[in-house]
Amino acid sequence: MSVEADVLSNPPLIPPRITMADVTADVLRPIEKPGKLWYLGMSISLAALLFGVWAVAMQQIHGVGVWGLRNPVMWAFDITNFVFWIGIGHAGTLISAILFLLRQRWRTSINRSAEAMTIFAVMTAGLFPLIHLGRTWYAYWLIPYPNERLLWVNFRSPLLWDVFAVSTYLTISLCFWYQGLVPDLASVRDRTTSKLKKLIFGIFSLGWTGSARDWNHYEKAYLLLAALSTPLVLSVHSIVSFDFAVSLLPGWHTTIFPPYFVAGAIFSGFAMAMTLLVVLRRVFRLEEYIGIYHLEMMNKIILVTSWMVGYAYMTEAFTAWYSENPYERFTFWNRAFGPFAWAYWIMVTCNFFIPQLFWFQRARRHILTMFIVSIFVNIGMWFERFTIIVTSLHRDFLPASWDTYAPTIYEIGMTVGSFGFFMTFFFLFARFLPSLSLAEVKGVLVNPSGKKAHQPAEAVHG
Amino acid sequence: MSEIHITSVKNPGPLKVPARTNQILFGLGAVGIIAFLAGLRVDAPRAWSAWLLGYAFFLFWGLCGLFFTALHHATGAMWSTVVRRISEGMASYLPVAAVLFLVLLMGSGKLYAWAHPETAHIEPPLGTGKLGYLNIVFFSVRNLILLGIWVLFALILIKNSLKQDETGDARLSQKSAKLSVVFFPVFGITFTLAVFDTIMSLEPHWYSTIFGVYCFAGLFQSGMAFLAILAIWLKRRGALEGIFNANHLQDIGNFMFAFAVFSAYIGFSQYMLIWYGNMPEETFYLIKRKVWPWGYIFLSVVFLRFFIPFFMLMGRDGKRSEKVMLTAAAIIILGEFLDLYLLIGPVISPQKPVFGWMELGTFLGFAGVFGWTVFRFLGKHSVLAHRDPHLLASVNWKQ
Repeated sequence: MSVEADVLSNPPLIPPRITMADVTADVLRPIEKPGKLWYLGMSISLAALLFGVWAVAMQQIHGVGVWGLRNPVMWAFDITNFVFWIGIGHAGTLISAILFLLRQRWRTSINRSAEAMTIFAVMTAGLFPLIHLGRTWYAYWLIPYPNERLLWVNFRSPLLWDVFAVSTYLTISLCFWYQGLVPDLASVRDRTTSKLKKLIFGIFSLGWTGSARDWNHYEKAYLLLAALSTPLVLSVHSIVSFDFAVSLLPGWHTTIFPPYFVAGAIFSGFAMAMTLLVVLRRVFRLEEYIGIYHLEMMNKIILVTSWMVGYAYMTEAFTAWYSENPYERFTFWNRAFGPFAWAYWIMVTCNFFIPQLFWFQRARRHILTMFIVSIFVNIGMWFERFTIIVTSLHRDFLPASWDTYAPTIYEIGMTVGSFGFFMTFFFLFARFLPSLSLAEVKGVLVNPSGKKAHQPAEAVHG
Repeated sequence: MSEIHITSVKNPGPLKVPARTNQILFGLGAVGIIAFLAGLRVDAPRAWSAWLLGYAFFLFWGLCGLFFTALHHATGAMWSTVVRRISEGMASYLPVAAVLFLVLLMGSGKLYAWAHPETAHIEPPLGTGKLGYLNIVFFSVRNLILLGIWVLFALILIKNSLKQDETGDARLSQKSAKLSVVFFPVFGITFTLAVFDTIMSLEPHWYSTIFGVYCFAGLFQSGMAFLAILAIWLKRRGALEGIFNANHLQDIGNFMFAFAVFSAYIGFSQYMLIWYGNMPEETFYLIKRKVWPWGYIFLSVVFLRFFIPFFMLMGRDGKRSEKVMLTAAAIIILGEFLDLYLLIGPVISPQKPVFGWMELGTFLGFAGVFGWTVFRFLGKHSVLAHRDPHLLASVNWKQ
């Protein structure tokens, strides 16, 4: 039986020779001493961020008019970026919550950075509604609070639901991420020689002692938080999809939008996680922890979600034809063959055709291939939102008002800046916090103490 | 976790199907035929509607068996090895479903308004291109192809599994895994087309892009419920004694719970967006189904498929208890039945639900055929994939 089982069994997640001490040393090395590449990456991110700060400052000073928006396209880059970044966050929640509940133990090497990515992506996304307000200093008007003028927010608007959905999402993700960090922060506290670091990490590790009692509570809380975040994976992007789907606009008003947006979010999130992890493992020399096997599993999820997104494209196009609704039919025809056909075909190619490479194991296990595919998916998913938003708007019900749309430098600056904002936080995270979950990685080691191996590879299977 | 209690599993062999069970199933089949034939004389559209209900309900279970088997292979799951033969048994119904579909074709003229556009009120927008798609010939050919694809997948997966019972060859599992991976995209497309055709086109003007996903949610939820019932029954009869235990039951329960939430999510997405959009070409479908007295069924579905199973299966203890699981499974199955009834029934009787001997009898007939097929399969082959390389990991699965 055991010989037969070998054909099917998975390799150990982490090379067997790695011990607990190695994990601590390898993962914490970048925190103690960053390399040159880190400084390079950080500088590029800051430059991009600065560009964005300039673009947004100009927009705040001169008003939303500096953007390329004009009737009927009154939504474009800003909301595209918002949806894009919210989507990026979903991989983290999926990995930390759903893969946890599904007992996928390969998640242990990637969950920390994916969760961090979630938080930074949601933070980035949160900027866009604020920017779009024009008068950002009135942002608190979004929050329903008792006021003397008896003014209330419009509870019937999905844009308000976004406020609740996204802030809940950020809160829970932050709790989840922080809770996972606690034992690792304690490890840093115990290892560091600097007094200041000891104080700071000491405060944030909440007096963690690593006793069985601590762990018992930790595991309980982790399970509960995982169960709480699971609905969030579905709810946040469903509500984002409502921003469009509750309207009457062809191409927006369609019932598949909620699950389609969720699948797309997970898809884009995994692509972004892949892009970052390929870089991270290289820069911080974590190749043995984030192994080919982990990346291959992620690529499989990218392939699956690519099909879900592709399924939605097909269903939408088919149903538009099937409906015999002339407006629906026109919208989809216009998407594929109208003035923005290039955006549509970028979307289909990047999101559906290119990821089909992952049917082949060689592509799934080839670092450069997966890196390039993940970049394409990032591009494709950005264009997906752009296509949905702009193509439905620029040809509305009244042909007399048809117009086109082109972004200005301010919108481009804002978009580039959002990448800078996101990457800056990510680099800071990688520099100051353990980018792998020490405690969880130690849990999947084959031979934690470094003694002669005696335990079978059983621990790997879930 | 890694300690091994059981080191070898002996082949439990085929199920000895009690003669009484077979008699009952035959009896049900006979009742079905009589009810349906008598129904045809009394009220043909109603009888065909009942036929479609039974056909769709059990086709979903057959497909669920296939889907679960493929899911097991494609994900390399371990725990589900002990119940895989049962899901294969469910999938073995698919060829029978194809035959029953041929019967349905005879009634398609009575069932579907698009089959006789001249007498039905097919208003102008419909007719330009849709009738080229929705017509008896294309409908039949298309759906037979879809059924053929499913049958093919089912037969190959079952064949590999049975061959492994003899040879114990682990490569067969690999082969099945490869095939299963291909199955999912194929299934997504074929299933959507099939339910658009057989169920959604009953109202030829109505469309909803999520409809395929909606039907799938019910399919998997109720299929898992049936799997739970059958596995518990087999265990109680001794066929899976010492093999199937609370740990496996809990995982099936996890699926039932997850899909209670998922089906509610999908149902809500569809309902809310149509309600909020408030466009007459979409809302008429839901209005028809939620005004009283159809509304009672509408509300029951919400409770039977979501609220009740949600609370019953939320905790760990519930999912590990056979009693709770059997009750929850029965509730879910009733919910799925009512849901399909709600999709199909109002077409022939928009004013109020009609449910009498005709509907009940026909449905029982389908139940008899389905049950007979599954038991025949389990009576011919071992009830356990006893030489699967993952079997020991599955038997010893703890959580």
